[in-house]
Amino acid sequence: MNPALDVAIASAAPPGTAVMLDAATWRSLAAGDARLGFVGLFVSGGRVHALFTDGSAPLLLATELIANAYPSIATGFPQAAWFERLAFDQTGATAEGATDRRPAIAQGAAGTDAAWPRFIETAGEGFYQIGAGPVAGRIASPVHRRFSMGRFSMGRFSMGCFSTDDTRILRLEHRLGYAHRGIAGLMRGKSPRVAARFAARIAGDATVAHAVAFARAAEAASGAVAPPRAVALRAIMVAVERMTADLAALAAAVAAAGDARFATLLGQAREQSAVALGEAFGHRLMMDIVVPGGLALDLRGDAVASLLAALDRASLVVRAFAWGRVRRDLGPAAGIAQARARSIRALAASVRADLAVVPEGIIAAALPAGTGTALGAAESARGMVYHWIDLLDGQIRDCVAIDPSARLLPALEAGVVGLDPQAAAVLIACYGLSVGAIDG
Amino acid sequence: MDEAAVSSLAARLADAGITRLGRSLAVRHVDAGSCGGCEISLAGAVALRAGLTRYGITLVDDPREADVLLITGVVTTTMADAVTRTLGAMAPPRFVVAVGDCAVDGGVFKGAPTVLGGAERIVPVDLLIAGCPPSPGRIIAGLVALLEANAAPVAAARRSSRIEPHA
Ligand code: SF4
Repeated sequence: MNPALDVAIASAAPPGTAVMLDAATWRSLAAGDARLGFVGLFVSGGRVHALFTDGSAPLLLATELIANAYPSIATGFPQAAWFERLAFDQTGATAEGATDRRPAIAQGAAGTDAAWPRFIETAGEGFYQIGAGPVAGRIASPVHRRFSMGRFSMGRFSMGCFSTDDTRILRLEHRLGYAHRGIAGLMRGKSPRVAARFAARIAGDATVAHAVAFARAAEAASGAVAPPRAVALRAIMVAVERMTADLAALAAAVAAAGDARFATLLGQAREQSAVALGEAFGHRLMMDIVVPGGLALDLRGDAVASLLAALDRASLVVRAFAWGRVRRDLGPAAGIAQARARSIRALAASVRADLAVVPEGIIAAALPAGTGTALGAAESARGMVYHWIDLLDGQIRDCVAIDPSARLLPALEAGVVGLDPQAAAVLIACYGLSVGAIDG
Repeated sequence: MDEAAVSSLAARLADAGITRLGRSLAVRHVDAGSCGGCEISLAGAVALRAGLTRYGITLVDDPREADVLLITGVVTTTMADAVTRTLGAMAPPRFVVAVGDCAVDGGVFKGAPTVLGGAERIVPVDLLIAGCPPSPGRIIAGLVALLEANAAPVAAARRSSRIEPHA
């Protein structure tokens, strides 16, 4: 029971505008709230904002910083810890009472960052650490993973009778920041139209999701409405992108599990989609097609047949899959893999249906020079992507992108505990997180 | 289209590239700060039936086995060291290929405070493959061309590979 919070939440209208809390009510978030799903946290304009979902609608709560500080909410919402660290890296605002004060993405200058990464030391006989990255794996991701290894039994760490056979991962820590391009900084001071090119390059595997979330935020803050044809085509693009990202994650997972043949089939289906999208939208990832106000390019009608063929191929490949064997090979990742396979078939079917009913008409509306803050969201294969924007006379005063990768990372780190490195590699692949989207 | 364009290179490769180096081409990939889009093309270049494997080009883990360092992404200040170290671990003759606009000249991130720019800012580059991202076919064609030319001068490579990115 938290009456003050309830009153504040009830006052949230229209959805996406920040609900201002007094210091005491904000502080009460540290006790947690079962109704609220944590999405992200950021500091902007002298305020700290926390974004939640109540299951259906987003809820943005904010409070004023006092002496560039705010009470940490990480005890109530553990996923907030990473965002509080990030906010400190980016703005210097401190989360009072936070226990984890390691940098999120900040790294010292090359050669001088001995203070980093502050991995938690693994002490004792038979314990050791394995480091991988930021150049590891055949197709590398710019991240360093530190695995603390040891004997794992019955939820306890056993010190005796050490053998390599039953060593398991006790802890996984990520060192981030290698892919930090400073994207939000590049977007500030620009018009939403110009900044959209940066939003589209936060994560190549979710470029449409980020572009749509950003465009929706910009449109809401500017009082613009995308035309119906653009809205319909965006929904199709979002769904196709999710399908291709599901295919890619599945391909990476089965490849990590050693099934090269099936990985190749999935990879080929994914590539066929990219080629078809190149024909249909002029870009294989649909980058820069979604712009604030609508779309920059229309769907090419004569390419719809190739797109439909690519959807069919994707469905066929996952249907032909021997799921019994997959469950065995993918181990703890099997559940996620199966959800991705189901999603591929459902998305292919929904896109096929949606393509038949796209309304005719213009694809873009003018974007008036607006002032105000707004939130936009769009679905990616990792979950909802959110963009928040603060416009002043049509120029971006501040903007924030929240990719699900950042809040899924702690879940992945917890998920690999107790696994061997091989099973962990499969799970990591199946999660399909984007390091670039976390680093920004 | 990609598959067809690349297939036509197969014969040329047979008499030129692979025989000249006397073995297949081993490629070590480094992501210097990409959005992941170029990696999707790279994965496509591996998965395609007329893909890299068919030309004897493989991605390898160990830089000491690699002939080619393939760099994607704009070089961030935090990745620069890892890129130069990876090249340092490779035995000569070694080639550097920059894949994608970000690695070619920084792309949209050119001039940003947290990046150094294209791969040429920190290592000598033998071949530039532009595009945001380049298609798998262009990556394959570029690597095959590298095999053929053995050590193509950057100026020539730039002329032949520079295609305006999607606007
Ligand atoms: S060139 Fe384009 S696709 Fe490649 S990493 Fe840069 S932004 Fe992403």
